[in-house]
Amino acid sequence: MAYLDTNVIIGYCFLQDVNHQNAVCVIKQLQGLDVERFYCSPLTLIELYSYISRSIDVLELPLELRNLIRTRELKVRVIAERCFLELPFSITFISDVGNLVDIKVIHSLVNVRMFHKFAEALELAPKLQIPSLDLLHLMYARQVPEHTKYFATLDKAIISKTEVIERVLGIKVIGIPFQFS
Amino acid sequence: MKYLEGFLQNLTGSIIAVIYNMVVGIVGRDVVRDVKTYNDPDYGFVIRFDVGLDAKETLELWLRIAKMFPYTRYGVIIGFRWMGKDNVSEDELVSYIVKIMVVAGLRPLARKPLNIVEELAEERDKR
Repeated sequence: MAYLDTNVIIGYCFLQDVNHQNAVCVIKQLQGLDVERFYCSPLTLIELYSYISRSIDVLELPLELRNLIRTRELKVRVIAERCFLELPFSITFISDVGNLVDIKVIHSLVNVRMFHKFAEALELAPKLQIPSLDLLHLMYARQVPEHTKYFATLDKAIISKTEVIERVLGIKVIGIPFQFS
Repeated sequence: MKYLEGFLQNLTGSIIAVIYNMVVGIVGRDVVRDVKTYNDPDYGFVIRFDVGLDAKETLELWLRIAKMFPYTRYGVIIGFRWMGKDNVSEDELVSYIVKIMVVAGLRPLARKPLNIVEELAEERDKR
């Protein structure tokens, strides 16, 4: 299985994105690894919708279709749905499951109940030392049932943590090697 | 130049005739009420057919024609407008528009270069 980071999905969809070729390379790498199932999460959807909404004034649809779309919300939806369908395979959505959990990590905070993904992220944050949203993406990737797990991304911060992510979570990071300055 | 204009007019006329015949073949009768052409500055040449059908029938027809006459192959956008009942919900309209884009090979365009990696890095607090 492979979890797709939002930057791979958007980079692949838009020919005008400077990362388009890198996204195509990542997708080809995954296809070469005979990956059968591809996943995304609620966090992917939030990032996708947020990005498209903020960029909506520079994103265009054919006039013939645009004239049928009456609101900005519908235009965002059309572009978001089109992005998913541009990928050469279908995507399985990792739904949020499980209950809220009680956690005690900071003693001065009492009655802390938290969404279980956040609790997992708290537990693993010291080991992984990566930014919060990256951490949450990885928590979702960890949830999928398949034994072999890939995390496809163009994010330099995640790619630079390839080793620790594989050691701690058993997830292999697939990305384009970057020149770090 | 005149020769070129004449050639393009003939070509447009031929495409319209091909699509018209496809429509008659699919619907089983002549429902085309008007044909317009225009240029979409981002995507190119557009031919629009106004048809005497309701919204759902028109979008179904559009989907079939877009599949048979894809933008990726011919570089021409074929569009339809219904003159009958507006009987599709917003959800159905979005679903049809996305399907038409997929079968025609139409992608959203960006008016300026994008950099999703930089944008998300900023959002993920890594700049």
